Amino acid sequence: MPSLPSDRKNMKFLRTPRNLFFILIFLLICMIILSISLGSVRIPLEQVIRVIFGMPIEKSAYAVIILQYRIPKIITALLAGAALSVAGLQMQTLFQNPLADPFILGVSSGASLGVALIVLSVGTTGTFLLAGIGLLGDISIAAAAFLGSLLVLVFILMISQRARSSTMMLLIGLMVSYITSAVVSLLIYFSLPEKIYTYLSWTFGSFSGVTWSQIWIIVPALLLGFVVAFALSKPLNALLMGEKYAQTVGINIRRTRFWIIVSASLLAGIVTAFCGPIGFIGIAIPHVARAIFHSANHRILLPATFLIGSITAILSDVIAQLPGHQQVLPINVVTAMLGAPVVLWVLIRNQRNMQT
Amino acid sequence: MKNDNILLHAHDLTIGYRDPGGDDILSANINFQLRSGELVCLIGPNGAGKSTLLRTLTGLHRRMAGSIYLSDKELHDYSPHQLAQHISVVLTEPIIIHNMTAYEVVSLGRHPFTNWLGQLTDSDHHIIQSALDAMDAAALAQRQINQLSDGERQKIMVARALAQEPKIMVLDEPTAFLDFPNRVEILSMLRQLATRHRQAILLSTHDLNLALNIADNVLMLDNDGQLFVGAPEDLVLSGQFEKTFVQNDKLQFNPLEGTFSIRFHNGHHFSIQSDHELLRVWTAKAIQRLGYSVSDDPNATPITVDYHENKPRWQIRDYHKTHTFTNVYDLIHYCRYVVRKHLPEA
Repeated sequence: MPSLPSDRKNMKFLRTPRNLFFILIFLLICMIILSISLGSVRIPLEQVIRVIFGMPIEKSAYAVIILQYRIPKIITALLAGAALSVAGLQMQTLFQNPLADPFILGVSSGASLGVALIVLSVGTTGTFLLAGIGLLGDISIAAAAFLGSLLVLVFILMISQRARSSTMMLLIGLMVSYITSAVVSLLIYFSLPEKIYTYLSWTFGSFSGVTWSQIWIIVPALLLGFVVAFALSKPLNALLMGEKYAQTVGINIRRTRFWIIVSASLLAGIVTAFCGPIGFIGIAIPHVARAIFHSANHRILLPATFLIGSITAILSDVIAQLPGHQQVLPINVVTAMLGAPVVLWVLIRNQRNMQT
Repeated sequence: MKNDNILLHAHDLTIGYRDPGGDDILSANINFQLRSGELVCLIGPNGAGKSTLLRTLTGLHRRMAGSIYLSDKELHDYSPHQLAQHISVVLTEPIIIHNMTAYEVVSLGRHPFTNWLGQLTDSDHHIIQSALDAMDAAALAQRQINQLSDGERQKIMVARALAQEPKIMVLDEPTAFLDFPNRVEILSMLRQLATRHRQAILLSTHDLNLALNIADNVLMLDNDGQLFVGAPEDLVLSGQFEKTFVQNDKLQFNPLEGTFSIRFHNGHHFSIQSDHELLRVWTAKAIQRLGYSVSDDPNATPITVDYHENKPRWQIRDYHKTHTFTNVYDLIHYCRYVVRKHLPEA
């Protein structure tokens, strides 16, 4: 029997970022295949592969389910999980705060106000919105959410050029959230129960109901956000030392802050518009990535959070679909109830690295 | 004086804070130069504006008036990126980064020179390694930065500033959190760096004794916002040093030794007789610490100290009785009692 310490050393040797990335990509592919196969209707793996490669299949319904529902849903979940995680990482670094999440600047508050305004305040559209299976599929909800978050974003960006410190921005984001949630509460207070239900089901979050035509909006917008985020990895690394130190190594703080906010808000805003305010992933995944990779370097952490975020989102969706059942759970329930204990475990195990 | 290795030149500089309710000017008419190879200490009482001056000189804070020239060009005409290639900074606040090795922290000093991805070339790695070597910190390279001691972390922060290969290095209270041996070590390393790398090193400190011992030039900012510039010896000889720091009668400055001591005197005199200079000096220190004077006054209470069986022995004569002590602690305890007895009844 080899001694334990040398075993551990060997393990450490295997835990290079490159190996970890291979493992994550492998897991992601497994998740995608699992997710295509599982759902309210279980489709055999062999049939899945046949559909993907355009070969003849047993039931034509399989092709419809896979191509019209599951693949758009998986693309959405993959990108949404990645987008929220990357945006969360950017916010945690910008604000030097482990509790920061993509919504800290009020992006989701803006979106929820937009949705609340059109769902709750418009008299006749309520019933129209309730019609149809995919409540979230309605493009007008997405548009309202997007406009709401855009409005908050523009406001925050204007302030970011004047704010001396990022703490100031954090407080302003918090105030924006309070104001919007007050308006939303007011709208709920004066609304009919069925409209409130429509609004609430949006806040539960869902990756389903995104159509191919919406995918063509989501994908390029999120890709743009990712490109900006990855291009910012160098200033993000400098920001680890704090804003002042970052400045002394040549980072233009205002410009950097502007682009970090643009990228994170674009990522979080698009996801919220089409999937609802999905919590937990954005705050937790960056911590998981740091714990797995033992690194603070954004050139490693950005792709790491991307992959771990997509795996988590697809897994959450598989669980939310309750394979074999007709019932579907809200995504937010799954991410928090299953994810939070895992993250707690990761954090407690890595406490030594977390302490100051 | 043109060709005099001047790296930075402050001309009629005013520092302070702009405020709609009236500007807060900390110091005006600041004039000084930083020359290559010089270690310059910025000293001054708390609140005089030392940090603000350093922040203004490093471009972290806007100057209110006047100009700062960095190699014949005004400081505020430099972009942050250009500035970072000339000046590197070590701030007072300790950095808190999880999951990062000391080596990675030092590598952040290469930022102004790396490509848009921040990739390190072989020459970058070489510079990082020699920065670690210069700070005697190569052994710390693979340790986690947040698991280092204060002294070790400060070495890494200086190494990081060094890896930036600056013409000027500015450090805001680099010894603030350090114990005495670490303080001396860091400062003497900085002293060597200035000489060896021909850099100008400007640091602020509260450690006046060390500043007087190592600085080539001293910038002294007093509470009224006036800046005095000169070699440490010049400031002592002109009496300005004492004037700035001795603001009340509780402190006294000994210009012969360049040290400060606490002054409070309640009138009692002791005389010390000893054949051993070391014993005499340290017994006198104990007496002075209590606020009593040491003199040859005939009315003084006499203390004799000598070696008895290879151990120091103190004897104090009081009212024709001799008391013997084997350590200073017991001696001063008795001295207090003597003084109380001699106090005139009110």
